Amino acid sequence: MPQELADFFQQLFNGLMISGVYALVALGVTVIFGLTGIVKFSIGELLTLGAFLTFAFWDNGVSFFIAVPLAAVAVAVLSLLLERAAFRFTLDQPINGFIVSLGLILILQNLTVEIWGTQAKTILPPLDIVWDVGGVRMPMQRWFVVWVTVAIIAGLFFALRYSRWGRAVRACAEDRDAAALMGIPVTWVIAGTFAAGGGLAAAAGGLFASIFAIHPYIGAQFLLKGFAVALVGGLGNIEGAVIAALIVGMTETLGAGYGDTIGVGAEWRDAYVFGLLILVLLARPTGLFRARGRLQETLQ
Amino acid sequence: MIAKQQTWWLVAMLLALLLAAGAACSDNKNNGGSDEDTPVPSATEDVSAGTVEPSEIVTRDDVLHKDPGVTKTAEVDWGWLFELTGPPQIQVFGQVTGDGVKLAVDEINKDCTSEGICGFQVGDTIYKINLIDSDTQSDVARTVSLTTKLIRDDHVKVIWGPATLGEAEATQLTQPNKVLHLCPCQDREHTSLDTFEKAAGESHWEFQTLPAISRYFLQGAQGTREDFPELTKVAILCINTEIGQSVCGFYEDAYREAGFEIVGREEFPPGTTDYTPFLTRLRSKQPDILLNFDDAAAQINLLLQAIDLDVGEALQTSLTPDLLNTLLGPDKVRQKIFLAGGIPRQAAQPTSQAAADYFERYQAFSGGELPPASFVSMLTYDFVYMVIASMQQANTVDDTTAIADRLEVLHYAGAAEDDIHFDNRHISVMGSDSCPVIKGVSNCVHDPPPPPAP
Repeated sequence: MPQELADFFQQLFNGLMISGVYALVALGVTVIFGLTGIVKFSIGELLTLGAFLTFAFWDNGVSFFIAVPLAAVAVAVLSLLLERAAFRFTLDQPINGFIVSLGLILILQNLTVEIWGTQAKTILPPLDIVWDVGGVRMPMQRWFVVWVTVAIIAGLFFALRYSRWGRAVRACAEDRDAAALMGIPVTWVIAGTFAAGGGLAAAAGGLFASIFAIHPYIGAQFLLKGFAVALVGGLGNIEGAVIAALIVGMTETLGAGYGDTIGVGAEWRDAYVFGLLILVLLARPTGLFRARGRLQETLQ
Repeated sequence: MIAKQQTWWLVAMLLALLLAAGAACSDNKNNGGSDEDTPVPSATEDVSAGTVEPSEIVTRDDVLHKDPGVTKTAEVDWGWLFELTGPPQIQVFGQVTGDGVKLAVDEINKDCTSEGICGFQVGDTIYKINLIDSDTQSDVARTVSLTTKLIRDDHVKVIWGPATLGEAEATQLTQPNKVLHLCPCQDREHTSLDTFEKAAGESHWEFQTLPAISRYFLQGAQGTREDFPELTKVAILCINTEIGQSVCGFYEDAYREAGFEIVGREEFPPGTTDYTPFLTRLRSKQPDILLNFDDAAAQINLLLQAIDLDVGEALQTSLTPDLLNTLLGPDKVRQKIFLAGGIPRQAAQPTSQAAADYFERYQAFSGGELPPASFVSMLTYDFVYMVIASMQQANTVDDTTAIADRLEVLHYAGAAEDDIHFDNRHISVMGSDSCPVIKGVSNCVHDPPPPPAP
């Protein structure tokens, strides 16, 4: 394969990979916001916690493939407890929920530092093979992460669309009072959604830990992009978040790869993403796709 | 932004240099009178004549020696300002360089005579050191405020730190007040010496314990050329900050001067985790060596991705060989040559018995485990002994001008080097370790200090 073509496909693969990570973070943000109206910034720290728990399990001899679900369940339980202990008191005042979320960032960050220290950690990839297809280098672990991400997104999509719980979540997102009148246990639906959002973030963190080095502050790095993705996709819109993740991931990767052909250096990579965000918000304040739930109410 | 830039500068300089043989540094020592009224020559001036002669090489045992029968005791207060909290890439260096001071002070305060009097002797008195320690929280304004308090309220004569942030600002307070101020101060070479001294006249009481790292670049490039003559093409990947660009510029100049072809240079935004778009661009230039500049934690990702994408035969790294094995895995480490090292000596494979003994003591002091970048503590540890040796030679713990005069000419055999001293800009002169890792096997050697700037 000619070098230029190989580089192009390499950049596409790079973009696909990072899109998957953004999608998982954005889903956690968008699902919780769609239901509660709370911008849960601490989702980044739950991702970090998931990454470190996965590392801890793996470091103690647990297979990576088991460590990730274990970490996801542990963080889901923690999220459930947090919702019961703190967030449920802020449901009518999302700004308070936002403040609680900011406080949690500091608490979880310090907790992580206290337990694991500040030194970076890595999980040696369980699938440590690199496929070289005509000069396009594709680590098998990265493919694995892409496919697991796809599976998680599909699972979440179908669960929300077709399961009893999913219908309850959507009903609560539309109108919590009406849902309650219909016999839906709103309190537990919300708590369950917090747990699912936390579990998603933790799974993202666990997968992330197998391809990137982790440290206690990684959450913030990905949260910003994940939040941008959720905004571009329309807060509360799951399909929108997935498509926006692809758009953002590809934009920044191809922008860094080929921006210089239009006179913009690779170092402008992040500027592409946030430039896109500004354009989208100017043209479509609710994001590229229709926002759902409480956001829609707020905007109307 | 400034904070990050300064930190990256330190991190890269301390951890990421490729080092090779060089000539020992020859210094023209200057001096100043100890009389408060006597004009004191600037540290930047090359004063060739003076009344203070270079000392014999002093050892730790000399410093700890106490005459029998001395019973008079006192305490001296020293300021200690380091970054114990804040961004991880900053606080890790604050913590470790601060530890170097605390370890030395702990050793000195616990060194006792047979009569049970502990500390160091100056004149007829044995002093214990009382560290007035504060966390700067990696905040420049707080550093300034703490420095002011130490000078104005606590009346300290010696201040240690900070490691990175706020040293230039602290210098502007310590120097007019003639407070002896020692810190790694990686920016002093570029800020205090070039700006403050010009503006305020001098910084006679300021000493930079980090060697003049800009000189290590060319030495490292030449060493790489000699060690790996088959590697000729270099690509550079740096963080897009002022310091990052500056370091990349140094790399480019040094490697070009050493005869390498620079085939590509890319800069990435701060906070990057996914380097693959940049690495893919550099890979297309088919480099033999990938030089890079980011903080240590982030660099692991960079190296992992460079290996996966097969960029270059040799990768420059700030990680020690054992960390490479732990973090990348032995299989990946065997795939590439890693150009590693440390200033002044790394802990993974100590290159002298004194260094090995030091790291053992530090390990015990820090509770059984060496912290990350533990070798950075060597940028303060020996200098505590040097300050005391200077006090002993000047026969005072208060007259900072006399102490600085002695410190300018003192030679000390410490844990880091057999002959540690300061050059005529008050910048420490020490060698460094070079640790290329080939097929997973590292072989660390200690190189002498690079030749001084022309």
